[in-house]
Amino acid sequence: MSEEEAGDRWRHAFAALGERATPGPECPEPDRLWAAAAGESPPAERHEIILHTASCSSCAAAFRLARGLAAGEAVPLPSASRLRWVRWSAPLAALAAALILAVLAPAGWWKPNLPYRGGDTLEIRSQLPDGTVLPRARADLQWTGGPAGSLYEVRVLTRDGREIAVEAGLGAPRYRIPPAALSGLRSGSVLYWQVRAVLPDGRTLVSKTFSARLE
Amino acid sequence: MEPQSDLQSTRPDSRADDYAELRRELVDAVRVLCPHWLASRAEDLVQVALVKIFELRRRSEQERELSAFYLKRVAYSALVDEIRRLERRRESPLENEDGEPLPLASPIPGPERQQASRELGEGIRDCLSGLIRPRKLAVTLYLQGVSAAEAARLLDWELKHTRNLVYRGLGDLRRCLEEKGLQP
Repeated sequence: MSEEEAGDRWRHAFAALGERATPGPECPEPDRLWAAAAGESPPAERHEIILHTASCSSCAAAFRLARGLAAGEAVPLPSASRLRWVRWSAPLAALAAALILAVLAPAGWWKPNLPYRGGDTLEIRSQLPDGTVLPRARADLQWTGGPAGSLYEVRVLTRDGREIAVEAGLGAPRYRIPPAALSGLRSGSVLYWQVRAVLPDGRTLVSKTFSARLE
Repeated sequence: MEPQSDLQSTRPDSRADDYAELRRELVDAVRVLCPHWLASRAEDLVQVALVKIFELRRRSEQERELSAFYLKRVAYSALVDEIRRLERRRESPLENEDGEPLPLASPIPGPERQQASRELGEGIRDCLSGLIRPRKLAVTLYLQGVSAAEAARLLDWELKHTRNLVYRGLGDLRRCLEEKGLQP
């Protein structure tokens, strides 16, 4: 039997353990499995989850499911006929961009390293280091910027999908969550945040959902 | 200055398309990636997940759009919760809500092959527990069908280092299985 055949046989046998799997009390929440499989959680957290899947067939199957669903989520620039979020009219966007740039461009906010991943694919990425814990008084979110003149809308949600903060028309790729919005949340709560960029030509781009923990 | 929306008239259709697409993707994923005994329940499982999304959408203020990726993540969480619920129920009564026996593992491979596969799988799991941590991480991802490049990214290691650990870890695994009398 070749190594490749043996590898396939081992993978099959390992996956087949899931047929009789039972989750235990120590199994991580599905959200943590997803974050690990999608590479969103900090490396140390990913290691813990992967080690757990070595001995828990139920979570191993859930991990494979997450990988299958999360794979290939490049965010293509939507065509003009299929924008999913609010679209600004081009003249309005241009006017707003001009005003914002006139006031703010000297501050040097703009990041020149645009994260292009392909011919027509642009991605908004979180600029927060892995494992960031957000202080309540300075819960600052940051992300990679789009072309000069882009405007951003950021939304912050709790794990149960409750929207606690939203801000539109941001000219810089950063946002401070108002402390008042965090007042009802427990320490250690996970926040999910997402950015929508409106590019100068009127197209929109939606980021993946990022997560951060509250102090 | 308020943003103008021109999606008002088209939103319901595109949202219905999104749900149909998401439903298809979830059902396919359950059928392909989940244990065989869940395949026949894929539609029901996905429906539970979609109900969760509808509730989330209903609570969302001002009908704001949620990204497809976020919806998928929410659906995944609901899906895994439901699968776990079924797995726990399956352990004791082994029957569905109508009192009918739940299907066990797929009959396709045949009982002897199933038994051999199960023994090999349990042997692999035992042997994995004995590997040193870095090799265990690398080999676990290998067994999960993760490529070396993707494993390197997930583990935050250099690709060469990851490949080396997979190679050495598989060697350890092979020796361990042989010691257990299992044909690698």
